[in-house]
Amino acid sequence: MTTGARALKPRALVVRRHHLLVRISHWLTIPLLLGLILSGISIYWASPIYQHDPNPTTGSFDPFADAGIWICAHIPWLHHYADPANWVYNHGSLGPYMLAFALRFHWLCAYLFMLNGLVYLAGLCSGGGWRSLLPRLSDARGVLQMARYYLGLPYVILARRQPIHPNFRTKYNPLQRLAYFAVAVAGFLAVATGWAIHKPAQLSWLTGIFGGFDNARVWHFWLMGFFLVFVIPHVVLVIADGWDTLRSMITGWSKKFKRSEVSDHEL
Amino acid sequence: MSFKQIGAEEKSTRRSALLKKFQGAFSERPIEPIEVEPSILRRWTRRDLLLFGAGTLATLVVGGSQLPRNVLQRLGSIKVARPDLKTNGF
Repeated sequence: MTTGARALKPRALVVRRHHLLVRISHWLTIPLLLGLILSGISIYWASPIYQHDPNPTTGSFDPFADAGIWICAHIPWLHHYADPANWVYNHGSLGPYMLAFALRFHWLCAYLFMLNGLVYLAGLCSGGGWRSLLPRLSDARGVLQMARYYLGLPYVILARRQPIHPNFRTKYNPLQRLAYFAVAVAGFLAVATGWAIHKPAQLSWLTGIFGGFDNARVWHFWLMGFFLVFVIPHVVLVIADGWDTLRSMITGWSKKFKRSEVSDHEL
Repeated sequence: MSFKQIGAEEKSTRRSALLKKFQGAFSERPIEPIEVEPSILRRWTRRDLLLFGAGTLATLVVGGSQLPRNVLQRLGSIKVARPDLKTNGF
């Protein structure tokens, strides 16, 4: 009787999506990256890599300072802002005049970021998740299909048509695979350029790979830009995809899966 | 069929099996759905969301404790005790 009642109980079908270590490292990346970016821009303030001849009116030689001056001049409630040249640094970093603290904080976050990267790798290896992240040679067509889908999505929504999502039988679509793989590579390059900047004498070979100290700083700066560019669509698409996708990165399991989701070597 | 031919065939079969195994090692694994009682799923979700919330709170507290006073003042998380210490421009 008890067995029969238990058998009648409705059961939910779920799939295990993300390994515990992958989930932990994914969420830890957010505060670490935030700390790295905020302290990194404070460091940048002390010696901007992009400089121009001093402006005769403002005396500014840094495009970020120019941007701050422009913002304060054009936004009515900022007309009386005390320090327009540092507006960007005041709002997008730990603050100007904080080089010593910013360097210490940057390295604290950097060591934790590297440790976190190792946790992520351990999670990918032990859960087998790395297989679904590897881009394949056959992905080019799928990437274009997905890019066309996203580019056309605003028009489809405005025209009140039903969007037709390209169908893929793998955990991630080719564009996701490419983006997630690129982020992992960017993380590795950010660490490598960071070491090249931190120890240019001891690791001169590494600094040399990136074209010298100044070029390593340029690489490091634009890798930060890449992370920012990745984060915006990543968050927007997760929200658009719904609660199940977000929850799966917290709990590890998902109710959303296709019966046809199989390994690509069986395709 | 000669012994040589049999040996060559065996070799090629073994080689293709090895190649398949190698390709399989890099390919995505099929997903395996599992059946779970909804009450257990709810319990898992509650537990994980609580842990996630606790982790977020701990990160905010630890991160905040590492930041200097003027950054916290700028964020509005602590009040300025002496207004003359407040950095210009905020």
